[in-house]
Amino acid sequence: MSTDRSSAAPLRAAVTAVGIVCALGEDLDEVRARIAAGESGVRALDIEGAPGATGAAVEGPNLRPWLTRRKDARLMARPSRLLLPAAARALGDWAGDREGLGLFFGVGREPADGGESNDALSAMTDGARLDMARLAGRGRDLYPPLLPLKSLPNMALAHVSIQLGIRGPGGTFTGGPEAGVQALRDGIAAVAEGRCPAALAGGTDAWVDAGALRDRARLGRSGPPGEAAVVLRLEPADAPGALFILERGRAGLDVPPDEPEHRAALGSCGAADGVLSLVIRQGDVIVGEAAGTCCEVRWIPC
Amino acid sequence: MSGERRRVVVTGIGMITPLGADAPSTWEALLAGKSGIQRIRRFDASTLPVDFAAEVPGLTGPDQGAMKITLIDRALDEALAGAGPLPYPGERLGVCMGSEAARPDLGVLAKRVKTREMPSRDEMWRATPRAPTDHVAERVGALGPTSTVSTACTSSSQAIGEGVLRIRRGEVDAMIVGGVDVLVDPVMVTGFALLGALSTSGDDPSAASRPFDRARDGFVLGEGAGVLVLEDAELALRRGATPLVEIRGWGCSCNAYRITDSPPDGRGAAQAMAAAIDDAGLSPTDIDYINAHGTSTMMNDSSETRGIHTAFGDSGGRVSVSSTKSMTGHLVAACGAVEAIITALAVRNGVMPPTINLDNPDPACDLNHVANEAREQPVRHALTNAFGFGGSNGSVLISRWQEELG
Repeated sequence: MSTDRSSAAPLRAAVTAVGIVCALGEDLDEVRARIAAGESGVRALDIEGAPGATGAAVEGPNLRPWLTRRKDARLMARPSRLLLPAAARALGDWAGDREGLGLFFGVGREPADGGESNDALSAMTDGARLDMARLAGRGRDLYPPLLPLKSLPNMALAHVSIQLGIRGPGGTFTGGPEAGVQALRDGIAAVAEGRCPAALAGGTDAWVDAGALRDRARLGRSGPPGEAAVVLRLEPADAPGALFILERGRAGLDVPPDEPEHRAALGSCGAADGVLSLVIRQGDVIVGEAAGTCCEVRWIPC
Repeated sequence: MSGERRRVVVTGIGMITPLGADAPSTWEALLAGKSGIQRIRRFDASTLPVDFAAEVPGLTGPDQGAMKITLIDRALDEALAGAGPLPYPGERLGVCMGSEAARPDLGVLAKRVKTREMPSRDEMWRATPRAPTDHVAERVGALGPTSTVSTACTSSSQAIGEGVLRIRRGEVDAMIVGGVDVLVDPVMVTGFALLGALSTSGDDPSAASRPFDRARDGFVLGEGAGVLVLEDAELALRRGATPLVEIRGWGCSCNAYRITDSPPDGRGAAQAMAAAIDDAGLSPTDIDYINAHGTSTMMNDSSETRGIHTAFGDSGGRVSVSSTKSMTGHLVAACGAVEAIITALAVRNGVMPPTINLDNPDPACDLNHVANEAREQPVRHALTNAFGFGGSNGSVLISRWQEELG
């Protein structure tokens, strides 16, 4: 069937603020300058069971300025901890009503950190066998009730919503490096179509723990792993104070991706890779994996 | 906002639930008020805090990921058969599925910790949230945008919303959307029980899920899959397809409240419902039926009730409401799609499935309940709600198909 109903005007939004948390810092200009100067955030990782491993890990980040209750940090897995400061900085002094502000994030791997699952696992099993009586007994005592929730991908968005008081439309995309760009594309569309007055959109991912290193080895991934969160504040394309304009480009399984150049300095940051590439390159990106959708976002200088 | 935009219709539906292996058998069971909740059969749950759930009968597989692929395959087969051959080129066809990561069997995990054995690459892929999306895209030959939404219990509702928006924008001509989840395993049952989220009223499992009832005490874990074929209405008609219903509105919001609790005033829920109604260009008085999220937890059901009253104002006590989770259990990432299909059937057939076990409605849930028996009544427009842990809310507005907008 011939389909002649292609989309009309391209969807665009202005980027009015950027929040970034990565191994080379939490200020975009500084991160770009350090990469341009040849610096790398890749260093030896201190991870039990992974001698000699290297990666681009983030120190901290400090969550205190953004938490409404300090104990909430205990509920946050690593991607949530990276995302919150990035989102808070992107939100900045935005004066609009947070009731309608959109939240669109791409999240890759969402591990439960702190070894909680391992403690529970050993208490629930007899050698290599699941012992249902132990699960119901000692395992039950050791099993943190919030562990299943902590490991849900949408918790990163949930923590941003809760800590920053944001109630607008939103969604969490999961996948590879394209996930953050998919979220960004959704945010651009939501703002351009008037479904929200502004949006925070981006990606977060963490690949520098023992489990992630094992998974990468099994999948045959080369290059250093990393962790990062990048969040852009999107407003209508004619908003004052725009840093640059973004336009939704192509998306599909037949769109060829390009290679993010930042990986040598910041490692492979999974769902954050595409948005990271965009803000560091300050140019068009097409991001994705061979087996999945690749997404394009075009960068238009102001 | 409805103006000249493309209209989106559903031309194929498929589901597999604890009540039936396809849409007709599930629908028949729903109208008969049957419960799909029983003692857990897949493993010995006798020592767990909760020993009942809503399992898909006979579902087996080497791991949860494989079971999810089995479920999505069956729902997809049914949806594609109903839609008939889709004539669109691959790049004009997209896929969006709601799904969470598959959890490894705890016994297998324990063995691997001891032996340092790694899962196969296939198993690792199956465990990712995107595996059902990739699988469906490969099966239908989609080359257009594919994506996976993981927003807990709102996941597949959002997948439908994504599909609608992509067709409206003209990015694609058709979308395969839906969701799948398999949660009935020892860790999930124990974990959700410890959260205090699950019903512990196990004397009669079929009576455990009782949304809006005074005696409700939690939800019942379930599993299943739902798939919908969405098409640009004009193109669907041009190819001779019969639209089942129209998806006319979509709204979503965040609660900004707590990870596990819903706000007592139902503010976020109201915002999502109001956004869907506004998106459809309708008013609350146009809505005849709400398939509620209605989980059977104390908090959700009263919060959702307040949300309905806020969004609907004076007509909040008029609109008919039921929660089919009373029969299917809570299908989590799949519930949005399965309940959208149920809502589509209610609109198409003019029958609203009931909330069973609603013997003593909670005064805090003062709604026009379709209690215990299906209600025959023309349904012009209906909402189906999905609200997730972490405070994500989605509401899909489904309308009877009419060539002229009513």
